[in-house]
Amino acid sequence: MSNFYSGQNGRLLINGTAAGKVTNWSFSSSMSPLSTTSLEDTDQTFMNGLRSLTGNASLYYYDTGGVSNTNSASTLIDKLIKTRTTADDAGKAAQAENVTLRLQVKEGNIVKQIEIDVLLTNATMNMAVGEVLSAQISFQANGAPTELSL
Amino acid sequence: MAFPSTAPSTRSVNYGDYPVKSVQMMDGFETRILYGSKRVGVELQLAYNNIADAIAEQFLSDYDTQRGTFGTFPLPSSTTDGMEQGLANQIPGVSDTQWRYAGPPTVNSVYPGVSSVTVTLLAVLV
Repeated sequence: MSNFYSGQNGRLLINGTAAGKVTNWSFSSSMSPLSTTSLEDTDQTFMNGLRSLTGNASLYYYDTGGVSNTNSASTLIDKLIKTRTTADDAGKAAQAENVTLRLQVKEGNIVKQIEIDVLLTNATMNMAVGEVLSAQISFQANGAPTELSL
Repeated sequence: MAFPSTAPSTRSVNYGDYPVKSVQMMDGFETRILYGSKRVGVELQLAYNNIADAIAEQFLSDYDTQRGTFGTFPLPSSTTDGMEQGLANQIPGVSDTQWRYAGPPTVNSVYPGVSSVTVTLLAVLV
């Protein structure tokens, strides 16, 4: 029997903690082939080159009701955006932090996932009339995945 | 170590010129004197893209064998691979021409174990 998966099987973990209110995640892995074509050839030949992996995720921004708001969208945004180290020096702030993401397909106790150490490359927040405030996060993997069981 | 017989990825040929001297006369006319019957200054630029480091090393070893730009050597036929014979024949042949390095080979590392090499050679009449 074939099992198919949908959004309700998707889960995103940020540094090992399940993120809340995730509406989608996606990733794309690509490889740039190196041409080995020489002048005598009539057809292009290639060898494997460098791989890269990028992706993005969308999360709703919400209030947990406590003193410190720790929703997952703000967790990721805080990893990328940093305030000034000193108030009178506009050019200096802490470096962005890398994050370990696990993009999971979960059904019962069975979890298929890819775990990657990522650099957050973009964070966008959308506030619009008639829409729930959300954040879109883009990331670039730092090296190969640390775990892959998809 | 001989010049590697790998086929190049790109090739650029400067076919040179005959040795001509131009003399400007006082009356404004130009006189041109032909000093030889063979083209000189023929230059060959060869690029070997994404080759194994071991082959790239052969270029550097040959460069050392030739003592850099000092020594002359014949070129393997693979340097004209992919070229119609008629056009290839316009490049000075092995019977009357040797080649020397115009400068050191340039090696660009592009991937673990993979490099690209560029060499420029000058024809030397013998």
